[in-house]
Amino acid sequence: MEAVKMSNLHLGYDKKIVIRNFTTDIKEGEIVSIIGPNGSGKSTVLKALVKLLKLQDGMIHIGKNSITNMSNKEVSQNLSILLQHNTSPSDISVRDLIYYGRLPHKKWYQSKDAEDKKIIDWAIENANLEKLQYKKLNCLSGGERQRVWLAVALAQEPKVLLLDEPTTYLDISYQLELLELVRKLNKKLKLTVIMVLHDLNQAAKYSHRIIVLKEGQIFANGSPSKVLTKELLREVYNVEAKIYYDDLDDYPIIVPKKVI
Amino acid sequence: MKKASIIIVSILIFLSILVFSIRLGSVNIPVREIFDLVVHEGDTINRSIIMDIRLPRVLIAIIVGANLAVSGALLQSVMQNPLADPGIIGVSSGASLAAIIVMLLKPEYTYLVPLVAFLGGIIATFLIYILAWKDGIKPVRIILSGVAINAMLGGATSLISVLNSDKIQGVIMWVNGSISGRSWNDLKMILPYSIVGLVLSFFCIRPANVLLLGDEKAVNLGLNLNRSRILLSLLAAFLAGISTSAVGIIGFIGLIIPHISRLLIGSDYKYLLPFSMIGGATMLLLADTFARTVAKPIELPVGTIMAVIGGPFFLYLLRKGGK
Repeated sequence: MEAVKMSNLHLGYDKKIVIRNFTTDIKEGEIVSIIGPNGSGKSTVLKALVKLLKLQDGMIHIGKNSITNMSNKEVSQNLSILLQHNTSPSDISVRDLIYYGRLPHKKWYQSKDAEDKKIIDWAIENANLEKLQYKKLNCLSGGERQRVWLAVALAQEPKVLLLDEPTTYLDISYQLELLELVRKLNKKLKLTVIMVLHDLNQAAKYSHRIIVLKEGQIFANGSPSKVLTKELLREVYNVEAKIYYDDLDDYPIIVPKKVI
Repeated sequence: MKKASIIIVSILIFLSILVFSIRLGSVNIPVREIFDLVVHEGDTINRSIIMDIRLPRVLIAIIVGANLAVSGALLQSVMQNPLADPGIIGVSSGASLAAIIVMLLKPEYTYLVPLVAFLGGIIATFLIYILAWKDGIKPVRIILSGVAINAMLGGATSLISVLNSDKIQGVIMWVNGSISGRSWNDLKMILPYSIVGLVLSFFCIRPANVLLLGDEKAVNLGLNLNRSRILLSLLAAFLAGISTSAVGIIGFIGLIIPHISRLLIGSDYKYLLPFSMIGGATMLLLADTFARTVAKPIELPVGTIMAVIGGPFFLYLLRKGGK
């Protein structure tokens, strides 16, 4: 079953087209990474998925519904996004912030109920935040905060989790921790994941499928070991690289050597 | 619960300033006598001073203070900027220009000043939002077009004042904000609208909070950005507009009270909004009491007093909060 279908997307800002002819289906339970050089339009695709950007052409379907006919609220019940950079009042507590994840499921006059509390607890457990749940956000480290925002996204009970370069501002240990967590959630909850990543090795390690963008078009689309080749790195990134394979899990490890 | 006790303390402070404010004036009336006078007849002169002069004035100060503070709190969420206040969306400059045109050029219609000032403020707000609109509404664009429109309206106001400098005397008090000489009629004029506006503000708590999480996450939590921004701004302009129409320009309160409230009770609008109401009411009441007693029999413009007592207190809190 497809969780999300994107067909023939054309996306852009004002008159500048950033993405052309973007077509792909995301299967339920799949982890798909979108990679590409700066300015290739990676994040633009995620923006269109959560209705931050109007489609200039093409269609996006969530299940059977076209998102053009869905309200922000309906989309937010199905897709939740974890951004690379988040803003919030600094004095908010972890639990209070996670509650905002429940809003897409609430009418304007409804307030927090027992059901919400249960789901907040569940999100806290899945984001490993039990010990931090009563702390204020400004007492947490960057990596812990990103886990809190992941919990906000989980509290939306999404079918598909979108991650927009979620590890950009984190130390390497927090980067690993977050991606491991995402993988665990994918396995445990059958959560479909679409993420934009900068780091090719992370994309290789954590994705079932990789979509490579070059100048707004899909250059390659397939499993990490099929897609991430020397030729591709040369053509898309202008980089000469060596590629090794991890013995156990069979994913490519890229060691860049020089710029061509 | 810490927040509950802060609110209780603030209400107690408010009530004591209320009594203090009714007591003080050109004739000081002891607290015991105030209750006697309000409940049953007593000394007729003192009763008349309280019922006809002080009470309406005190109540107007309370309502206007609450309106302006709530207006500022809402705008600070819309603009995602703690420095936003009702002045930024043109309410003050539009109201000033409209009022001054009537007071200086058509003095025979001075009785229309409240209505004209209200309309002037609202029209200026619309102008700013129309100019800021481009594929939706972004805080930065509102602030920029606000600065431009405010400068133009301010320039026109100065020009008319300079050309009519012989008649400027009565206008100065209005431009600097004054609650002096207000009666029950003025109170009746703003009370129903203020109640409606303040009650509506409680429905803005959720969008005001969600806007603070940034545009992208707000949309992904189901918020309609443009609609929320416009509704919150409209309510803010309405609250500031009716207040300005009754008492003239009182700046600063819309900026400082939400800010102080945030330092004391946190940034959750569930607490911030009601606390700003109490804070705004208390602050303007205090400032107005000061304005009419400190240099009696001369009345000082309360807007000026606001800045003089509010500023240092604000700085103190900022430094304390910074630690």
